[in-house]
Amino acid sequence: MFLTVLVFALIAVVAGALLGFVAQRYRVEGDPVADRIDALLPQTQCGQCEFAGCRPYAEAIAAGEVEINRCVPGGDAVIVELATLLDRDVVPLAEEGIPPPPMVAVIREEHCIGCTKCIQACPVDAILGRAKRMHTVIADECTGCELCLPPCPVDCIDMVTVPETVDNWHWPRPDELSA
Amino acid sequence: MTAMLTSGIVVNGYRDMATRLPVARVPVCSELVLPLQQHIGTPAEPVVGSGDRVVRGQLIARARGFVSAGLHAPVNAVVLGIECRPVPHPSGLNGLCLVLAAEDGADWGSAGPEVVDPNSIAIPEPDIIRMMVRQAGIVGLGGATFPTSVKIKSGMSQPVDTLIINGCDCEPWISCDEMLLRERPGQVLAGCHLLRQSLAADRCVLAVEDDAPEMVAGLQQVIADCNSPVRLEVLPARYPSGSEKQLIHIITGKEVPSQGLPVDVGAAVYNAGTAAAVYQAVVHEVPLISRLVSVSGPGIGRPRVVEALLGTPVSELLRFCGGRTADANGLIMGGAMMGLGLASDEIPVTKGMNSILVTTPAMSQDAQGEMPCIRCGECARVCPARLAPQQLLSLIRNGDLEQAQQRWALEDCIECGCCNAVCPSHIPLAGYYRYAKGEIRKQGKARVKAQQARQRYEFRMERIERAKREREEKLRKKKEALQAANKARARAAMAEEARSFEDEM
Repeated sequence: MFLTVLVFALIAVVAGALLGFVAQRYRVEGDPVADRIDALLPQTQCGQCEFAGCRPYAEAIAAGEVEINRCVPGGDAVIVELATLLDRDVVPLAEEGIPPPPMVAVIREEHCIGCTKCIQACPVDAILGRAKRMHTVIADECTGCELCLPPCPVDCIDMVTVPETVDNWHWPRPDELSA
Repeated sequence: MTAMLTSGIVVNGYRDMATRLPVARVPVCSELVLPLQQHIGTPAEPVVGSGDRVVRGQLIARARGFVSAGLHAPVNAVVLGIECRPVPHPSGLNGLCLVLAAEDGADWGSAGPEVVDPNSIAIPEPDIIRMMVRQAGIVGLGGATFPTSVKIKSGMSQPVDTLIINGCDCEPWISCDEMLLRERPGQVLAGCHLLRQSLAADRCVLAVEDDAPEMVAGLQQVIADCNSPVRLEVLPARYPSGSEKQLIHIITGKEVPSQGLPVDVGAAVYNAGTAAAVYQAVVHEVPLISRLVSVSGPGIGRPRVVEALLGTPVSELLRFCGGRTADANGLIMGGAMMGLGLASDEIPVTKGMNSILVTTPAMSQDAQGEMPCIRCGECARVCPARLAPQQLLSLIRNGDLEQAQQRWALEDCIECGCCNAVCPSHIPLAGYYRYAKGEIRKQGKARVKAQQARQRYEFRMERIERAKREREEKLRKKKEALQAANKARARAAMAEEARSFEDEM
């Protein structure tokens, strides 16, 4: 009887020590689930999900605080990918309508007063300029989040669709072509 | 044993259409339009500006980066500008072009196509050959337009034992390689020697198809006359024998691995026209400013193979060949299997334009609609890349592009269209593969962009955080300094008070 208790107590102590050691030794920095969710999000950092960027939204999903249907630019494709990753049900997009085509912001440079408000609003540092000097958008870095539109005091920023060129064109699907 | 393609299909090549008349040069036209992107890789960068005078053969746009090719002025001309003009592209969109106005009296130059003794030419060092080919702006003239100097470079870094010169016209209706080999075999053989020297290849094979008996007989004669080490390989005509990987398999029996390059199996394939251009560039220092174009099809007055300056509008070629017939209804650049429909005849001749096909309603049989796949397996039987076309089709229709690419080797599809031709349900299979490849590339680009955006976002967040920390730190220090000063002042005041108290005592 005494021996049995002793043996089990010993096993418990060894196993506990081992688990404690492993937990310390192989600790994972950050939240791997949030990382994987973040990898699926389109990184527009637009805030339409009501979080301050893609990463905070990914963390909220990982914590189970929100539904997976808030990403407007990602649309249904991202919802399906998230549903597959997290083994949740596919739900329709929270916002009505279809995701807009890719856009970029363009500053009407003759109207820009150089207030730097759009520079501070841009989540990906895609606007160049300084106080009292003209600003301009780096088109390749712009994610089309529209966050620079509200702060502009003279409304000189336009959203334009990315033009189709020989470089970004590709063949359409045959059945969509005939439809 | 005759090597031949076991898959693929037998098609009527219509080789007798455009081969009745000799090759003729299209007269210089007043305006030449040269797209900056005439090759695979980075577009060329103009080195001349509006109003500049240029002479024939002068570099007008240089290669930018390693995988790129330069452009040269086809005639003496004045640069009108750099403009967006229609280019030969399936989208029908415009691209940046250099527009030249030919000077009055500008001509092809006096030198005509000469007869060459391939054994008599001096052969420079491999690196010099490669450099001259690069300076001449030569790209693969079979239609793929991959810069030839880059291909030579990759053949130099790995051993090549078989150099294959592709004299099979790649598709039905195209006859430019046949006419080149009939009229200028010496130039092609001379180019073979130069390419073989640059790659240090053990043997050189000239591959042609047996549906042009006159060309085969002529080549046999020329090769015997000059005792050339080039071996002539006459293949039974079967589509797509002229495709690079398939040709290597036929000639060497080796299969280029999935996503691999011909050098991986010790082979290199160059088009016959490319070989002739290499000869022109290395021996005569003439850059690539013209090419052979086969103008054929039921809708053209006098089908023939013409030599045209780059930049000449297609409309000029059609006029030169007797114009369109009354029932002509469409233009195709390339052949009947893989060609691209052209929206207008304003499009200029480019380095990759091997053929213009003028169609009539009798030729197009697209009227039948698409019907469900009956899983007959014909497409798998004919697929020269040995893929599983119906599996790919169902994956693409279900949107599972990742699976199609990773497990079913979609990228190995050469888009030859054999599957379309045999499908009893008239499913445009190759169209689905083309779409899927483009969509995969687009998604890849979007992923790269998202990755960059994430990095910039994280960097910005970190910067804001750091600025906040630094501000707090500064405030704290200021506060501490202030508190210290206050304390010191208080202590001094206390000491003062104590002293005055002592004084009173």
